[in-house]
Amino acid sequence: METRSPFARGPVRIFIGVLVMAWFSLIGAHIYGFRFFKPNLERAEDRQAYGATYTHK
Amino acid sequence: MDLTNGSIAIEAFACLKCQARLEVRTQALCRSVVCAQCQAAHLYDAGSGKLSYKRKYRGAIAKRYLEIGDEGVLFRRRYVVVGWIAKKESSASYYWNEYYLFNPVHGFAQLSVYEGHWTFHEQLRVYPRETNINQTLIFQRNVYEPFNHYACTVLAAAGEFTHDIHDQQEAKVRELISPPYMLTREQSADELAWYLGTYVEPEEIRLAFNKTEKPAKRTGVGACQPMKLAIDKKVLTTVSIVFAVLLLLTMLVLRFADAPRTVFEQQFDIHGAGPTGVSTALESQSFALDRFRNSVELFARAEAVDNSWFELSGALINNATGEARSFVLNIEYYHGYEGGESWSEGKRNDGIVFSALPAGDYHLELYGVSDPGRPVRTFLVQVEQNVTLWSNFFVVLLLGLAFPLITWWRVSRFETARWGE
Repeated sequence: METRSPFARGPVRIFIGVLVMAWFSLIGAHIYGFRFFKPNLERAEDRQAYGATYTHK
Repeated sequence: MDLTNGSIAIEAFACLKCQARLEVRTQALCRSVVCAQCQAAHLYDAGSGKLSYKRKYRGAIAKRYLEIGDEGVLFRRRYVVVGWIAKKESSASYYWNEYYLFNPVHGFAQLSVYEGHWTFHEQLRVYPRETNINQTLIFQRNVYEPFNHYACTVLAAAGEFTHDIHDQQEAKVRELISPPYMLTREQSADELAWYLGTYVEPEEIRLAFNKTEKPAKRTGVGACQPMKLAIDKKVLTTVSIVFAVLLLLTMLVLRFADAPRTVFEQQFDIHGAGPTGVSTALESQSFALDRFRNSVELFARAEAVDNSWFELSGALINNATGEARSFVLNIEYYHGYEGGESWSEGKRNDGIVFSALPAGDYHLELYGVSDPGRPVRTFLVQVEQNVTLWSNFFVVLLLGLAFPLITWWRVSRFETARWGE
């Protein structure tokens, strides 16, 4: 007797959808050259304004 | 269609024990009637339309949420409550309520409630194929796991029934679950019946029967209560592994198909330091970043650092716009021999990654400060474009796996509670 695939259930589809989005974000970040963790977007003017560096490595 | 307003004829009788009003809605289908007041059970003869007293039940032990004659719409069908039974497991002390529902077109259904968990049962016309009832059973594309088996006893009743409910005493019941569904196999002395149950939220019951009072609060996890956003553990594991492998493969493909490229490399010499120990500004040659947006790693190495330190601060400047990204690199390396063991700390190099740098020509402005006791005269700076961002891989992996880990934990807790009941 045929059974319904557990992969066809709603929450699994949502979960897979989230993972697909995460995968695309990885590709997008590579193309855009963006680092999620400590992206170091600080500008030199900011550094002067704040008086000390807050740039991370 | 209003079932109690003319469409179902009600035949009224007086209880043979307490003279309370008894009502029969199911007409020829009715076989027994129990008085809600005195618990006297009567047999009903549809042919002659007469009642005969049979026995008396111990009495109501639970508060009923639905009353005989209540009407409600469940699964798009309008039902009237015609009977109620309180049952208990013969070898245990807990009990539950069953409401008998009637629709003149669709027939009978039952609503069972235990610890605030409601299940709607309908008798099956086509029974599941029994192979080994103690094992998993597949029915209508769902896999059912054996959940419970017991014999039950009728404690109290009210209303009318299509059978003599006393015949149900010691009926053997087996339950199999595939939340939100439940299969129930009920075998009495002369009858075998299968029921398909569906879990119903208590609020749906309240709305279906148009009650103002809320049903009793749920405790624990119901036998066939579905978990919200539940995912099978095997599915979770499979999807998570596939995701992690896919992510790793993606990173490897990006690493080799779109490899990092050194766009600048220069050895700098420090000729003199000012009174504060900071070198005069060093300016690099220009170098180009040719992609729309670039990840760039700036890397410095000072071989002369030995039990000393060297700090390199500066800015990466866009030649056209003048926009600068500042940085500070700390290079320190210490080593020695102590207590028969050699030790070392730090490195002779340091680096920093810049994100999303726009395309254009860039140059570096650098200031070096070193340990006055061991001045650094020369250092190497390297700039790589399109660096592989492994931290992105770990961030996405962690975020991607956070949901399955949390769900795994939730499902474990929920299922432990369900099977522990």
